[in-house]
Amino acid sequence: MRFRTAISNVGLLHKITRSLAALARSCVIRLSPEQVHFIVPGNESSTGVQVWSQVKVATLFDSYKIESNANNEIWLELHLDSLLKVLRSADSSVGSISESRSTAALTDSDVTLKLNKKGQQPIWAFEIRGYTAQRKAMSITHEIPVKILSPKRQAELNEPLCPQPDIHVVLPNLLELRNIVSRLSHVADDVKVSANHEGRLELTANSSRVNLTTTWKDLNVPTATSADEEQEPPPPDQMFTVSVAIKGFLKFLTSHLVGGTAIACICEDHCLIAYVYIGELNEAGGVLTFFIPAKITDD
Amino acid sequence: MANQDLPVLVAETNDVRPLARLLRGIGLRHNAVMEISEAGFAVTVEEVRTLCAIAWIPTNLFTSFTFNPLPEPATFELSLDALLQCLNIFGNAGSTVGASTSTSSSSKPKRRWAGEGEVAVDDENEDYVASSRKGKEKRTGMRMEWKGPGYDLSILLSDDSRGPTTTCELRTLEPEELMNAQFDQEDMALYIIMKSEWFRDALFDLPPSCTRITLLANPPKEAMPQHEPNATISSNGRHRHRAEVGQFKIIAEGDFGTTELDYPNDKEVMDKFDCVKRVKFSYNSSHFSLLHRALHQSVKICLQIEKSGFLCVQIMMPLSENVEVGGHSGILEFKMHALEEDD
Repeated sequence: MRFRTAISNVGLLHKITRSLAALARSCVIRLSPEQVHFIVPGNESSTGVQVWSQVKVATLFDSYKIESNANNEIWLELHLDSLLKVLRSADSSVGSISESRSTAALTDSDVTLKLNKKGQQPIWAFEIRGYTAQRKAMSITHEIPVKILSPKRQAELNEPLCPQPDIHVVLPNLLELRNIVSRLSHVADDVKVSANHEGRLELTANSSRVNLTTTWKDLNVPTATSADEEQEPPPPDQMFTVSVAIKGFLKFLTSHLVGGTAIACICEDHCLIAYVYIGELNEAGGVLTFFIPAKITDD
Repeated sequence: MANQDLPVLVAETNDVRPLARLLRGIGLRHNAVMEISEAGFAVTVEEVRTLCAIAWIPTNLFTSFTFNPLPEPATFELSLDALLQCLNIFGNAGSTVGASTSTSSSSKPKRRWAGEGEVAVDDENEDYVASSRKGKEKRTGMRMEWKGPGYDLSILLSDDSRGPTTTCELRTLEPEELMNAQFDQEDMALYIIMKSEWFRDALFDLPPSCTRITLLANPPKEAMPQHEPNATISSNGRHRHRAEVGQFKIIAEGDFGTTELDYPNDKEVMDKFDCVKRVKFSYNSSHFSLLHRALHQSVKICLQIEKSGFLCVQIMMPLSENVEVGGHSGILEFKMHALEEDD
């Protein structure tokens, strides 16, 4: 089992890790020759939100080498906290964390990642190399313990099965959305997410004191790509609704950090699925998929 | 009724901030009673028998204000908390954070202000504030409508950009009986008008541990205070001057000593100072410190005390552009009774 790569986009990996860390303490990473999958199974997060994402290797890594006797795939599990600490350090060293370069920034720096073993404990070793302001060579190494997943455990991890979504809608700016949703969280515990084919999106929070509805209009509604079922299209003004916990919804909205386009799918009374695209929609470098379970309400 | 189909109230504005500012000033309880009249709104919050806070919201804060009077008074109770949360849904009506946390509210068991909400996602708000400051200022416009008794108060909010819109349906309740003791202008013992700033600084300096605050006013030309042998010449002179022109004093006793703040009746301090006889009354400091938040962004404060010690404080907000002479852009009024003098 061998794994070794240079991390070409430390900033992006940092952002992805931050969005995942908002949800859960640990996460499963499935490394395959073409793609990296970040997985947060439902039992890991308190709100039942799951993440099943895939990112193209080239989006994050460079000189990527992987070998194993299971289809050249490696599944491992790690603590997001420790990964976050390493990436914060690496990110500030590379200097991409903010526009004003921090004093800790190194020049001509690069970050490499290796799967090693320390005694019986498999570790991920990060090495940050670069030059200080005084042009001295500097190398920083971080090691975090990881757990290699057995094939049995791998087989237990299954992407949730969802019915055909009732509607897809392109979400407004996630930061803007998050700010509104976080204010709704003062009003109620659940939010009703509704959308129709006219591009109308409604978020409704009801409490004994006030009913609040925030409406967006003229959002893009991507037409279903799979035309396998010849169904009667629903009337354009029919609203499809799902109720989710605001807490869970907010956790997904932390992914505004990744900064891409997001599409929400509503499976009525089942779940809300949100796809957050990394990079541009058409040349997607990857996608983070969030499954937010529906809350079944009385009304 | 001829105009049965018309809503009782339609009010519109393109910036909810002045409205939110006034409401936040009286946000000391969850619920408030709102009364609508031709002059605007009067929103009242009462702590049983001890404190009454009213926000007078004039029609000039709105771009349009249509009121179709009912035979009965247009009054209802609603959740002030929820109203403030609605107004701030786009983040453009929040309190400007700064030195606004008063010493008393931070050290005493934290009292939650209406509209503040449980602090769950507070760090997230911060970066929003930062990001909204960067761009050009955003404003939230509002259309408020009330069809009449038994209906919800409905509010439509939108950013002026082509962003989302929010509708709020606020439950209205039968109003609670209000005490609203009237202040008797005839029976006035002290009447002071001064800049809010002076008063706000004083409230800021009050020791957090104090439980009662004493207001004391001496009329001009009272007998000279006793000569203190070890006082400096300048402080003696100061005392003499103050005794001559009259002065207003705030005294707060805390665990670690007493704070006294003196306001001489000088032109640059007092706009008005009417006091015939020496006045001295004490008030509950937790009630008194509620004024601090109300003073935020205000311009003038008018402090009146009845001979019985009943205190009425009126706080005036800065005038907006289109106010006619004699009008105002919102006044917050606080009324409270004096504490029994202890022996």
